[in-house]
Amino acid sequence: MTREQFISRVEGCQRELRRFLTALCCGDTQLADDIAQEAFIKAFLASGDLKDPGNFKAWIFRIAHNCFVNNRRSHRISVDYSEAPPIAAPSGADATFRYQALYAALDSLPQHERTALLLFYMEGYSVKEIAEIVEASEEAVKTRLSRGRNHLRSNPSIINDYGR
Amino acid sequence: MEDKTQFEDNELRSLFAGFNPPMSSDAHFLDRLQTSLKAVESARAELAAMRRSNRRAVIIAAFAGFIMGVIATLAMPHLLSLASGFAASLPAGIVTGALADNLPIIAWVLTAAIIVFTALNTYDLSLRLLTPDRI
Repeated sequence: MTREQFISRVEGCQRELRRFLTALCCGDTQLADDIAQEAFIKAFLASGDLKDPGNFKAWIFRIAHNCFVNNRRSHRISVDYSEAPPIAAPSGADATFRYQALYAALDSLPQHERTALLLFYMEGYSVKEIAEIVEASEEAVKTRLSRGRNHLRSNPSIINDYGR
Repeated sequence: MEDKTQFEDNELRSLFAGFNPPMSSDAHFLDRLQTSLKAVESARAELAAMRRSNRRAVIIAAFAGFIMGVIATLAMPHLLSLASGFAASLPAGIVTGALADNLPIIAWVLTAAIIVFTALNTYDLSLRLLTPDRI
C-alpha cells in the first residue's frame, strides 16, 4: 500500500479513532492524538500484512488498542483523577469541560471494561468484533460489558447528565 | 429486569452517540501523519539501499576471496619450492627441521589467512564505496 493510498484510507476513519482514543484516555486529547499517530505509523509499516482491506478500520482499532495498552504499561504511575489539580480554562473551554463527569466515570472503570464499553456503545462494534480487536474471547467481552455497565450504573449522574 | 437493561443500553448508546469531544483539526493531524510517514518511507528506502549495498559488498568480497584462493593455489608449488629452498639454506636445527616437515600445512594456513584478510578488507572497502555519503 502506497503512502497516498494509506492516507486516503486513514482520512475515512481517523476522526472515529481519535474520538475513541480521547474517551479511552479520559479526555487527554494530546495523548489520544499521540497514540493515534503511533498506531497509524505502525499500521503503515505493517500494511503489507493486512489480508482483508475491507477490515481496515477494525484492524486500525486493534493496533490503536495495543498502542494504548503499551502506553499505559509504560506509564504505570498515574495520579488518581480525583486528585488531579484543576486546570486553568483556556478560551472556549466549555466544550473541553463539558465531558468532565463522563471522563471521571470512564476513568473509574478498569481499562478493559472501558475499552469494551466504548467499542460497543460508541463505535457500535459487535461482541465478536470487539473480541477480535482486544484479542479476547467473546465470553470475556460479554463479562467486561456487563461489569462496565454495572460500574456505570453506580454512577447514574452520568446518564442523567448526558444521556438525555 | 430485561426492560431496565434495555433502557440502560439505549441510554448508554445515546450518551456515547452524542460524545463529540474537542480535538485538534483533521488537517493538522493528517499533516503531522504525512510528515511522519514521509520520514518512515525515507528511513525504509535508506535501509533497503543499505541492504542492497551490503549484499553487493558480500558478493564482491566472496569473489575477491575466490580469486585470491585460485591465485594462491596456482602459485602454491612455486611458493613451496621457494620456501623449502629457504628452509634448506638455514642452519640445521630442531626449528628448521620442523619447518621443513610442516611446510605444506604452514603454507595452506597462511594462504587461508591471506584469503580471509583479503575478503574482509574487500568487503569493508566496497561497502564504504557503495554506501552513499550522508551529511
